[in-house]
Parts: sequence; C-alpha cells; structure tokens
Amino acid sequence: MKPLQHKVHGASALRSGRESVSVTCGGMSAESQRRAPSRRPLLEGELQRAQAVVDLAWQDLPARHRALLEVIGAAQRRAVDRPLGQAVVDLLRSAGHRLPERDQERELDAALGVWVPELRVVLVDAGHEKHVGLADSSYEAALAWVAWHEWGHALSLDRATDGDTQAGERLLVLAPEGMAAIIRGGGYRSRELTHELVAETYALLMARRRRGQKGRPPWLNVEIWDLMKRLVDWDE
Amino acid sequence: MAERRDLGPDEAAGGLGRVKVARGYTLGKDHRMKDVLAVQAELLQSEGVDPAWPGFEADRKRRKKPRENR
Repeated sequence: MKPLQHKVHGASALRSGRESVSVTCGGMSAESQRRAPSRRPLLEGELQRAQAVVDLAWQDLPARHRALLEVIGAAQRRAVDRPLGQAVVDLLRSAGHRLPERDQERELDAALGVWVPELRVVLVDAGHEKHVGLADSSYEAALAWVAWHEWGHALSLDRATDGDTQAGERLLVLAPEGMAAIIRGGGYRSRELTHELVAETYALLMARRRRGQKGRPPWLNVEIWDLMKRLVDWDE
Repeated sequence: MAERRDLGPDEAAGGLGRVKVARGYTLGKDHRMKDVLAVQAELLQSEGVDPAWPGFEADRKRRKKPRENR
C-alpha cells in the first residue's frame, strides 16, 4: 500500500515535529483530506523501517501464539502511513468486501492499530500523530506495543465469554492505575473494556518478556493474570 | 462467546450491506504513545526491571554475527 502523500523532510522530522514540504501525489479526496487527523507523512525509508519493526514484533511472539494467529487469521501485518479507516476501506474495497459506515471509518481513522479479521491482517499506523515526539528507540517500542496489542485481541476474542465482557468495569478497577487511565481515556464502550484490558496487558507482558521477565508481575492482579492465562493462553 | 468487536455483518444497520469495523487501538485526546510507554516503564521499574527498550536490532545483529572460535 503506497502512501497517498509524501513530504520531504529529515529522517526524524515526523517525531520531532519539524516543518516539512508537502508534495501531494493525488488520489486523496477533498473529504478524506478534511477527515485526516493532523500528521506528517513518513519518508519511504521510515515506513520500511516501521514495517521491519512490526515484523520483528511478530517474530518475538511465543511460537505457539504465532501458530494460533496463523489459524485465526492475524498473521499478516502491515505498517501503513495513513489513517486506518481509509486504509481499511480501500483494502476491503479492493478485496470485494462490503464497506463500513462512514462514522465507523472516521472512528477508525483515529486508531493506531487494528486487526481486520476479514482481511486476515493487522494494520499499524506508523505515521500516527500520537507517535510525534518519540525518540527512535521509543518509536520502535511503540510500534511493537501497538502490534502486540492487536495480536492480544486476536488471541483472546473468541475465548472471552459474555461474563468476561460484562466484567469490564470491575476488572478495570483491578488493573494498574496508569493502564486503566489509558484505557478509560480511549473512550471505549463498556462492553469493550475487558477486550482492551486483555490486549493492553498482553502488550505489557510481551514488553516484559522482551526484557527476560516471566511469571506473574507483582503489579498484576491475580484475577487479571488468570484471565490472561485463560483468554490468551499465557503460560510464561 | 462474547460479542465480536470486529468485522462482521452489521445487523443493526438493517441489512444495508455494510460491515461493522472495530474502532481499533485508540488513545484519548490527553494521551500519547509516550504516556503508554511511561506507564509501562513505571510498572517495570516497580519490580526492579530496567525499563529501557532493549530493541530488536541488537538481537537481529547478534543472530547474524558469525560465530567466533569455531
């Protein structure tokens, strides 16, 4: 997928927020331009680098999770540099699928990552404005985090019971305070909270595993730990 | 099984031929990725783990490096 717009700037301009020169390559409608959040497009090399990071995040997953994700349909991954609503609509259209409502597309435009089961792909918006200001190492960690979050969704979604979904508010109270604040800030619906908590915890456990840590972290409530073992088969 | 938050027929749309799409991973207006990473760092530090991102490149280079003393 080619970005619709390129800008000429230094390698770290996106995250430093430096001014840049815009070169529009066409293809983006006036409506899309109005809807697009404020962002500074990546250079092609930066997008390739982002794709490499997402691929490495995939390789970092436990082997049995990768095998399961292959079956589930979440093994493909792509770093893109455009609002995800637009990216998903274009992919759905080109694959001959039906399209979502416009308000859903706009909502998805604000997302950093999404798993699209019908397309069997995880998309990560590598040029999202929420990445601005990150140093290179933090940017890499952030891209990996978003990808791990989405794979956490894919692993857990079909295993969550209605009871799990309904327990979202209560479980969030048991979560680390900072994590709960991030999830609440996302404005998710009540029935989405458990899914978000599991996905965010999965990313956190992966980040911790990356640093050689195993077992239940002392800051993770036992009930949430048990949920992770049951919903994403976390056993490390 | 819990309600799917991702793609599937949108029953609520009354058969208009649309699909329901997940809203994806979204941060509130007051949060950025640096805040997410700060929460992660605080939790790791609380258990004595170095929160510095270990990176992927180091591993990749190490795997590619030819063995010595062979």
